[in-house]
Amino acid sequence: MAGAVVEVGKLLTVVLDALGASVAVAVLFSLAVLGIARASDEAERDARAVLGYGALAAVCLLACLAAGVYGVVLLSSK
Amino acid sequence: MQGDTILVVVIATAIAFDFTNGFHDTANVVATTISTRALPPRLAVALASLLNFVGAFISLKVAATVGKGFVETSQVTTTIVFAGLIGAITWNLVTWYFGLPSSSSHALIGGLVGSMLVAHGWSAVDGNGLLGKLVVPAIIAPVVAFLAAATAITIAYRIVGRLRPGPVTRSFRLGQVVSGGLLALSHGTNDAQKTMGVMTLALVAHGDLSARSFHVPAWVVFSAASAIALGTFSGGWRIIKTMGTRIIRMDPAQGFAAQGAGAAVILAASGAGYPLSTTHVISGGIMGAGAAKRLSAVRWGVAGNIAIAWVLTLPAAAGVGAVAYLVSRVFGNGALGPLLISVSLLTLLAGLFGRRLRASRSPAHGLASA
Repeated sequence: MAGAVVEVGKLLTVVLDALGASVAVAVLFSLAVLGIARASDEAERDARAVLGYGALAAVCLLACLAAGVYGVVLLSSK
Repeated sequence: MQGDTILVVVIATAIAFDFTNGFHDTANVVATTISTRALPPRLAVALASLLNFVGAFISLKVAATVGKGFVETSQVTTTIVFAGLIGAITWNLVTWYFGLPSSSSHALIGGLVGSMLVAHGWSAVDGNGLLGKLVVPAIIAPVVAFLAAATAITIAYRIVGRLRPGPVTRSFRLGQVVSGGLLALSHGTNDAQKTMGVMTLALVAHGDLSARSFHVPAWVVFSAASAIALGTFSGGWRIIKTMGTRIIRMDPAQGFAAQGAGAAVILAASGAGYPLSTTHVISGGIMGAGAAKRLSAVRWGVAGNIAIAWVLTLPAAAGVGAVAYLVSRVFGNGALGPLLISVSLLTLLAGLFGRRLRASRSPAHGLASA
């Protein structure tokens, strides 16, 4: 009865989208923070490490921004 | 002519409701950003206000649900919409006065259902729609926000926990500017649409729009967006003054997780057309981010008050909406009833504000707060 009233599939999609998006963005942003922090720690010691951590931070930040923009665009196109 | 007057009263009341909605919810949207010092208060409020405005233009699915999902659209009259709005505004004022964390969205739908019930009976109310599109999502959404924020902050602490705190704090503060912006955008999207739905419903009842297509006119979108943005902007200055101990203390990483989870839940629900209580979702996110660090950080008393408000809001707003409809009908079908009720409510509001103002300026209050 409740299953017929509640659109279970639609609700489940909302739950999974929300959980997936918030956890994915938090992981990506934390990795970006890790990259920034490690790059600043290695700044005077290891240029290759700085480059690697810097690249990690840049890629993760871009992915975060892309995820946010994609979410809003998806919402506005529905 | 009478019909036009009542429509103007209803639209003005809906815009006033939208303003109070923004005013009421400013704290939820900017509190985390301000408490972690990610942004200065004035800038945080101004940015939230701007993004509330922009967010209102993103989607119209929630407006359609509010307009068509809970009541039989063809039986709605402008007096019913008016009475529903009065139910919502009155309940908002009562909960604001007593400091209860109430949902403006639930109050709005409760008020509308209450006035519809006394006007046409149960046959005009879609019980399945209420359960499936309002009650169940209302229970699930804050829990999802809680879990999302708790998971996000747990993973974030695992990744950045052993790093020097300086760069981590600075980076998460910057991240909060974006997550807070997304939260304000999602708030504008979900909350402004509820008023758009009600305004469109009034236009359908007045015969200006067709009930079949449920098209929301551009001027309705613009006025709802402006009202909620102005409400957020006005509410912010009061929040800045009363900030401090009332705001939950959290670090920027927790703030980022809480805001991100809240924004994700509200945006996903808006895409599906669910009118959520943004207050409850944001509170769920904040509690999740707090609980993951230590359970005692959560204000369980606030959680209890939210639960009480959940149970009370729909029936209470429905009751006030029903009474407002019956009082309105005493004066006939015209605009006199709604006009008299509006004047009475404005007088009551002025009285409440005056009393609060006098109390805050009195020497006794100063001593008590010192």
